[in-house]
Amino acid sequence: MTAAHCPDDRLIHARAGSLSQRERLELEAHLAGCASCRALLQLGRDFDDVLGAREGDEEIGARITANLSPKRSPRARPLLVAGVLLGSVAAAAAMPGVRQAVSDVLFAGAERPALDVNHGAEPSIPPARRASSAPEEAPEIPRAAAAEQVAAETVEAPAPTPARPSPIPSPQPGAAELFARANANRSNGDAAGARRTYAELQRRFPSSKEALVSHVSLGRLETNSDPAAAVRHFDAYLGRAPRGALAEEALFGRATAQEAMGNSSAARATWQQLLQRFPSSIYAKRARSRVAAAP
Amino acid sequence: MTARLLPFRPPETAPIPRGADALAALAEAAAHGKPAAIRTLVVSVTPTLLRAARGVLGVRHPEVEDVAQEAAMGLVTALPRYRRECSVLHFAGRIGVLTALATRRRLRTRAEGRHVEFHEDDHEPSAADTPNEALLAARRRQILHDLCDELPGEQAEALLLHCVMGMTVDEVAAASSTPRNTVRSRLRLAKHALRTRIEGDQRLSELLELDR
Repeated sequence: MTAAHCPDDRLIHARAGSLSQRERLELEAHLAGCASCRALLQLGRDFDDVLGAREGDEEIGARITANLSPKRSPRARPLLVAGVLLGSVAAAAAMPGVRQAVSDVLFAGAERPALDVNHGAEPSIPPARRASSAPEEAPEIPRAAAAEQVAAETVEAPAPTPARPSPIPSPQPGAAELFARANANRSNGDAAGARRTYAELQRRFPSSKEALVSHVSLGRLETNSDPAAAVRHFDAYLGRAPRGALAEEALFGRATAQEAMGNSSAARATWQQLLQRFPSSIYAKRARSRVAAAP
Repeated sequence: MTARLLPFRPPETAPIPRGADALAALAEAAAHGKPAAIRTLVVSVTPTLLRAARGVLGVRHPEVEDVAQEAAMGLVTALPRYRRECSVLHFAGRIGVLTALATRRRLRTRAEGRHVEFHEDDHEPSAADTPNEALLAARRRQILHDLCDELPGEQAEALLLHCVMGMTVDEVAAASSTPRNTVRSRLRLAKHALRTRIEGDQRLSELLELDR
């Protein structure tokens, strides 16, 4: 077997432990003479060792589902954002079902406010696809362009049509913009900026879905510095969306903040509520230990 | 600009029969905008998206969750064009890898350098037997990451789908609508580059006995 005929698939099956005895012997014979395959098999196993499911993945999954509205990258440049908005108009018109569904997902379990195009709360569609003539290492590849690349390879791309002039942007940022800014502040460690922006979001767009989700974000931010405020934010979320996608997170946050306040009886009640509603929660173990430890 | 032509579809990438992929029906419903289906689908593919993000960026890279989020959004957007030429998980896995790869290259080019400075795997617990082996495994993973910053995009994609996501050549071909032999060729070139990289590291080279 030459290097040009490396049994690439058998390397995968070897990692999965699904080779027959004969296949395993053949692979070993090949590996004895093929350093590239030895390296690739070892590397694959190296990744398998560390890429299994991790504690906290379910929590991440819940956040991803709750935040299906596309976040603009905090590092996106204004021109890129303008391009995204232009592309969104055309793409959103072509996929009303998806657009509607993404919005529906965000409002699962919550009272749904009417979409208001003026406050910018509608989910936008990922950026326009990368130009096919871009060099291999072109720096400006929007994250969501990967999906566009997949789509572009499966359908014939229509000839480009002249873009209509974009509407004059509102001088006031919309709910989505404020939410993205606050998240960017939080990601960059600017807690004060995040607090200010979340507060502005909640003040200006109190019924938006971003404001709803921001209560959980803000609650997390406040848990250590101002646990009483954190409890208020978690309560605000649970009050508006008792069956929302982040209800489990909010209950966990409330219990933690109540513990930080020294209010053990309230914390215990919240832990019990969490166990009752989410018995298989990733926080269940902690909740049980807290409930059991309580006097 | 000329219109992009439909890619060549090799015979081996015939559509997967309905029922063979447990997520196919869910994906179809999600593509029609059913909220519950979208929700369930995203939850179902999140482990795949996280694997892609962690595999490309590093297990504890700070952008992992954001990249998985972007990939989930990208998946929902791309679903109407999903043709069942590959499994839903492989479709999602490719979106995850491409999203993470684009992020990685953007971070590198903007010299933010987080992934360059962030040798996140150095202390990552693994199934390796000894701390020394764990460090060597981390070094090998780092070599793949560095290599993917420099390889042509198609080669990096094929290598990552194969090595990190554990996809066979046929699966990579189906997911990327690329002929099997093209994928095989890209993998061969990427493997050669990988070997050259490892040969430059004496300790790793000795352990893998690359001089044989």
